[in-house]
Amino acid sequence: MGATKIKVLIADDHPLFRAGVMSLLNQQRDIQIVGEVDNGKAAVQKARELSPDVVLIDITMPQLDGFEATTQIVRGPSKARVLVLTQHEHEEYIKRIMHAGARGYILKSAVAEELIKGIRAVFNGEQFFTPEVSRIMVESFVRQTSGKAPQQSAIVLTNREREVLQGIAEGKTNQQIGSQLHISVRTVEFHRANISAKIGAHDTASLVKFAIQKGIIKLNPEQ
Amino acid sequence: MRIPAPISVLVADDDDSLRATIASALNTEPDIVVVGEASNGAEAVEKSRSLGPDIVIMDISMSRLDGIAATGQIVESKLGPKVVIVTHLDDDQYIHRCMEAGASGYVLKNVIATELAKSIRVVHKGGHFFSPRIAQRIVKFYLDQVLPVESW
Repeated sequence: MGATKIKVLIADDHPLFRAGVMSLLNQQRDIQIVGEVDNGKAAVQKARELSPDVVLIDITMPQLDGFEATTQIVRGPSKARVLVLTQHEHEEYIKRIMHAGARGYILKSAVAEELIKGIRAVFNGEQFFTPEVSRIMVESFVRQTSGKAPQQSAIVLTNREREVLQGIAEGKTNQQIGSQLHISVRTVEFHRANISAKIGAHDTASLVKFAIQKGIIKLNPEQ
Repeated sequence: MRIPAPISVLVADDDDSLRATIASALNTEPDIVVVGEASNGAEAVEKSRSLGPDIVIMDISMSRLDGIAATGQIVESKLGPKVVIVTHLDDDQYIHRCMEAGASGYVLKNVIATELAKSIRVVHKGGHFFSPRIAQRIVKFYLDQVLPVESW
């Protein structure tokens, strides 16, 4: 590891747990704890003042819960990435806090190495989940998907492809789509080719038709 | 003490030697017994009906009926068996389509030695099993769905 350490802020309302996490992290040469707080409000404030790289955050905390604190940290001036460390195993919690902008989710029952791995991963811009959390997400996706559309609707577009397709359907040029999505024209072309291949469409009209069928764009009822 | 009945398995793969290898490997497991083999999707559907296995090990690229369509038919017709896809294909499209068809597991061929028997046990108990690489992809699908689209 290089000379710069990963600066971590810890937000958890249990002093003993916090102490345990701190002593664990203090043993890591590439991690430096820059602060600890016991509520969500303080987490938001310290994230601004101390500019940590990673905020380790609990969900159930006084004053401001982890969901709201995450939202404020992510939207705020701090570049910190939020990593959730909690005992909550509910899918709703995972969904809500990921939606709020968290980069990873670790259960308190996980082993210590997982936490350290998670901090490094999130610092490097990756997402991180402990196996139990992945399992919850996989099971949920399987429940939603399983047997829902046998042998049909085989076309799965990524979010980005959907955005590009929306642009195409709205009659925008590749250049306009590119500047709207902050990507190069070449990237737009690349996505466009992939979409065409997935849909099996060879002209713009078929792409637009698909976008309408899938509800990616809506026709103005007045028209 | 009662010994529980072994888990009965049908192996569907159009590669004869791989099918034989899978079958003989599974037969060395004390709690698993291979009750039949199929070399294409149509045969897999037929034998699911006639042999009534607990689990079908299903390849994707097969003649007559591909493994995804065969999975759809088996799951939809409620013939009974659960399907574990065994393939070297790890493309998002295939994973998604297999799940939509109702597969309960997805195991990559390069890890069948360590994961196949495990997947059969998990699926037989009513769970789902995915090779780690596949599970990662599914997590991505999930998050794609859950996360807000930037600059929408």
